[in-house]
Amino acid sequence: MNRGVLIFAFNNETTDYVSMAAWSAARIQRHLDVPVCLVTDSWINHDVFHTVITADSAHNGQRWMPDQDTAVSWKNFYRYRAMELSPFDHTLLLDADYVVASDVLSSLWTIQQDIVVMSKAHDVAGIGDFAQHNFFGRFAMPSAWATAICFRNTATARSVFEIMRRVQDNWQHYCYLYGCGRSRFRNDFALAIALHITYGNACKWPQVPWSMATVLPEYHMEQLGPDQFEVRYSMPNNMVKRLTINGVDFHAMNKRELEKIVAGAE
Amino acid sequence: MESSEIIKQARARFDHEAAKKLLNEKYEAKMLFAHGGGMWRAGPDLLNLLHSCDDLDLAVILDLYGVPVEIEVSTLYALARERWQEQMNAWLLEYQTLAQQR
Repeated sequence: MNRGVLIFAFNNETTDYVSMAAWSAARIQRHLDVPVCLVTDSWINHDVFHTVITADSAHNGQRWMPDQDTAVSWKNFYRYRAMELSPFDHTLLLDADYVVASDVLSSLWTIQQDIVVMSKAHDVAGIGDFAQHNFFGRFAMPSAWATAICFRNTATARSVFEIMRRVQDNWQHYCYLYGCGRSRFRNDFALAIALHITYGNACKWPQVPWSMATVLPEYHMEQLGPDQFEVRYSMPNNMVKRLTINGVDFHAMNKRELEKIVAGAE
Repeated sequence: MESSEIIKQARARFDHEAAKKLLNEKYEAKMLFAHGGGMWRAGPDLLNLLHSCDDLDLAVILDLYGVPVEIEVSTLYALARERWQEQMNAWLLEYQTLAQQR
């Protein structure tokens, strides 16, 4: 059974996700020692990727990016095609802004489940309240994070991705059904709904057994070493504090800061 | 950047509380290991469970995902204890380094 990491990266007018993915791919190979496949909408020549698949990026309006203080084109559709596009039997789907700084993700390969997803996240600084992100809708259904998904090529996993497609195509209906108010479509919602349905609406599915460390959009970040990052943030009392992330994987929501780090590395 | 902002950034205090929590999360994740088709978390819970079965060669216990797995008690105990102590030692070292941060 071959295994590898799949990253979707579609550049928009402000963020070079492809460069981010390339930077991430080098880290993935160093820590996880597996090939990385990139899905993007333009042809690129980058040695770091084992495979590059070109696919049309579906454009669905704009999203507000708090760290960039502007609305940008959102091209994050087609995540449901991960199984269809993946060249691997056992795939770890990661966001381009998920920073791999350890080998802890390797343990996911050994989990005997069709699909395992990240279901909890927390703010590294302990300030941000993630309750609103770890649950969704009027009925506070447990949410899932499409940032990191490990899946095998099985019927159950296929079912999850198929339902994700249906949720995406019929978002108004599912938004109403789950009481999501006027929320725009998110892959996280589609994944959570798909998992609920696939696993019998029991609010239980195979989860990554740790919480995802997250750096919020408003935090400043710089790289101090190969796997060491310093994060600076303002506390509610306006005091600035700093924290060193050393050998811990994290989701960098502050894309501007991550872009600077990636640009500095090139 | 305004001077006051530069000064504020320069005086940024190391957040010990958040760093300890981050370290906790880091090493809890490192306690995980696979054996015999099951996923396990090394720690007092698993070690105590295995210790309670130390009169058995084989036992069926639930892994982290609620899957019943038949294991050799002594083998899993040895693996779990090794992983637990290995990570606890690393945790202590990093904790001590962290305590010296300003």
